[in-house]
Amino acid sequence: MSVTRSGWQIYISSLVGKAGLILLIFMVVASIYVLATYPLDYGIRVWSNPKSWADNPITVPPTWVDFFTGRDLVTHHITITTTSKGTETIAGLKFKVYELDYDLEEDGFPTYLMIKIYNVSMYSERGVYFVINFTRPDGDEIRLITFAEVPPPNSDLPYIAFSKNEKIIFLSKERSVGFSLLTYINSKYNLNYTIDKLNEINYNKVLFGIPTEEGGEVVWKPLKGVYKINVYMLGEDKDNIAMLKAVFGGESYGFLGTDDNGRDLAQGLLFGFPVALAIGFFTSIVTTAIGASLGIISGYKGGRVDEIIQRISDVVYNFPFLPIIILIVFIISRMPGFPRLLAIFGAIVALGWPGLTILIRSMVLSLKQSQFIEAARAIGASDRRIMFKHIFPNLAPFIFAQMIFFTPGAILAEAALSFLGLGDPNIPTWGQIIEESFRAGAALNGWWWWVLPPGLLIMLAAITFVFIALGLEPIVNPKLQER
Amino acid sequence: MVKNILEVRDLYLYYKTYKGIVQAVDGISFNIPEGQTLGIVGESGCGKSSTANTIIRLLPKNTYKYEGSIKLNGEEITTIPMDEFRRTIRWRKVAMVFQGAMNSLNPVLKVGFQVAEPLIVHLGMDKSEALDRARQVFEKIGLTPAFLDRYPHELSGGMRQRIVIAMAMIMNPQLLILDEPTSALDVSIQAQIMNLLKSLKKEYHLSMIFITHDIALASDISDLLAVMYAGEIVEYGPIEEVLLNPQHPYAQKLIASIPRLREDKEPEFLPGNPPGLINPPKGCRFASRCPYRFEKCSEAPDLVWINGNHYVKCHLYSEGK
Repeated sequence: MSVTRSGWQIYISSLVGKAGLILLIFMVVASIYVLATYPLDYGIRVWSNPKSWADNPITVPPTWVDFFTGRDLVTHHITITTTSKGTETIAGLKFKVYELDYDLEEDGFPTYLMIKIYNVSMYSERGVYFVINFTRPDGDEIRLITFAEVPPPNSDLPYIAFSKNEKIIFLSKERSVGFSLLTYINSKYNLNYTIDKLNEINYNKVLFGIPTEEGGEVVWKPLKGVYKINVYMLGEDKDNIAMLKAVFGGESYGFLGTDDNGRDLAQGLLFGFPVALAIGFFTSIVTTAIGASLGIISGYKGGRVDEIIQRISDVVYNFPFLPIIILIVFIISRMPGFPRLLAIFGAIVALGWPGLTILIRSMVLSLKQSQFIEAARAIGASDRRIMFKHIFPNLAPFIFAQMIFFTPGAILAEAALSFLGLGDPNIPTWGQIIEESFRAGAALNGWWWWVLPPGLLIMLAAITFVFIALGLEPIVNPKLQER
Repeated sequence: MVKNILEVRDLYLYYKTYKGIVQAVDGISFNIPEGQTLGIVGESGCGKSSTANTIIRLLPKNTYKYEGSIKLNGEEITTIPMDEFRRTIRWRKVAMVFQGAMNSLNPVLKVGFQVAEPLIVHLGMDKSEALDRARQVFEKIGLTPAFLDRYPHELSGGMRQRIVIAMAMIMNPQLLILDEPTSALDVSIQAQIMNLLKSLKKEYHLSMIFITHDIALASDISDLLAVMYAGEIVEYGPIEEVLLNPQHPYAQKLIASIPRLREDKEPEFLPGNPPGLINPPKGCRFASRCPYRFEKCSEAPDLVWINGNHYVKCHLYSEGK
């Protein structure tokens, strides 16, 4: 070395080193954000729970594809109300009115319309009667559906209906809505459709559009403006709906779209950051610790100990990594209750250590011949002390670099195993998400937002650690230092 | 009569190699009186360092024969079990400065820790206490305590040598073995180190074994001189005796090879090479290069008493010549 520079200066002066560090900081920040805001059992409680995604549109692209489609996609919209607008008397009956608004701004149709009713309290055994009306921007009011809800016989009053499971009415699929719409288009546009024809063109086009004639054919065009859903409830004065929710399905959703369960992919992918980092770091730390310790012991002790350790490493080193690891994880994952992520972690460690052991041993063999190790032996230091106080510090930079080098391998191995269906379905990892997309045929269906982001993230994680390792290399191996 | 700190009798150290048995130390005997220094001189590969390693019992794995008697302060130390030897003798009573001290320091550990380490290992001191003691020793050998926190590569050769000496002195040993302590240093630094060693000798009444191939340097500090050749001590005696009146033909040639100031004589050199230590010649090992050789030289000579404490291993001086 002509100029003595500290390791840090050497590292930070290299472009890859800087890039790697920035990427790592990004990953760490994302992980900290996830750990701070997500519940720890996010996988089971939210990700794998269909209920938490029931409102979401299925396999829709991210909202930002608007930039490329040339037309603004209809965004997903949910309107909630908990209070009644007032009462209205129709034909001498007093109805409680709840109103849900929706402003259609984009040039498209919402993909579906759904209404959810929560916790209806009834103070009489006669129950309540619901009428759901739909008001369009052109002033037309369509009666979509009517239905009654009665408390079961001999139940205590007030009875709370829809408390365990909310009442879900898929207005854009409901058959009785279809008949209302048939009547409506017949009287307004003089269109004589059959129910089958209506099913073909979709209720939502009729709900949110107007028919135009184009080349002799009827084409439904979206009608922009404010829509209102009015829920009329007939019952006792005290009868009450705790919450009403209307879901206007979007053509796009969130930052990274949704999968075939309506799950927000951005959330799942974000959760993948701490998981990937944890897998990468833990496996590489444990693997490196085992590999380096065995290498030092093997090289320093020599003789039979050396022979045993080296032969075992030779054998393990020559196992074909992926097939054996698949086998191990497959067997372990059969054990009920054994966390699969732990099985993957253990399998990677079990197969990952021998390379380092062989390498470190060869370095220790030459180190132990050096005078300072003989000097350490002469002052009466024990073998353990020599191995870990004198030999280890000489190898520490190299071992550290090896640890960083091993990290992307561990992340990729986890992704590969998850992709093969051996991952933990309860914890969303990037490999897991790719596997689900593969199973759903996302690539064939053109659902690119489900395939590309997890793939790119895996690549990003691997590149981060490769960059860091490349930045560290000149420090560990001074011959590579640029003059 | 001064007490002997070290008495070595018929010491053997053979190594086993693929080519055969190397007779590195072949039956040597000598005494060192308390407070005195024995210089051991000889060519490279004559067994000087092996002798040192035998005394401190740093035997390589391929040791084939390790025999003889070494008495430290009258106590036999060759029979002490290895573990006890490591705990009670090595570094506590006998310490050593290794050949090429530049390499005796671990490049990635601070020198203060390395000097203090024997205290941690032997006396179970904690690190700060041991470093305090190291600081005192540093002052004694003329290093500022600031050096405690330095790494070896930050220090010059002379400083490193001092630090290695400090490492050897930290347990206050009775006997200090110096194996070519100055061979890698330039002359002025060599002088500093020699002066340091002399002051340590005087101040602590320290006994030393000074191994070198430089007779002039040995004469500077030694009270006794042993000349080694092919694994044997061929001449042993008080330094003036051996230097001024060398008896063994090898010792004569060796001393004649020292260049002299203001003398017209060319330095002599020894033709030929020393015999290999695998299967050395049966008789006198020097015979092949000796100008005085005669028939009897095919038999192994015994150590012959010349006068006082002066012995020589040569048939020229034996009775039945």
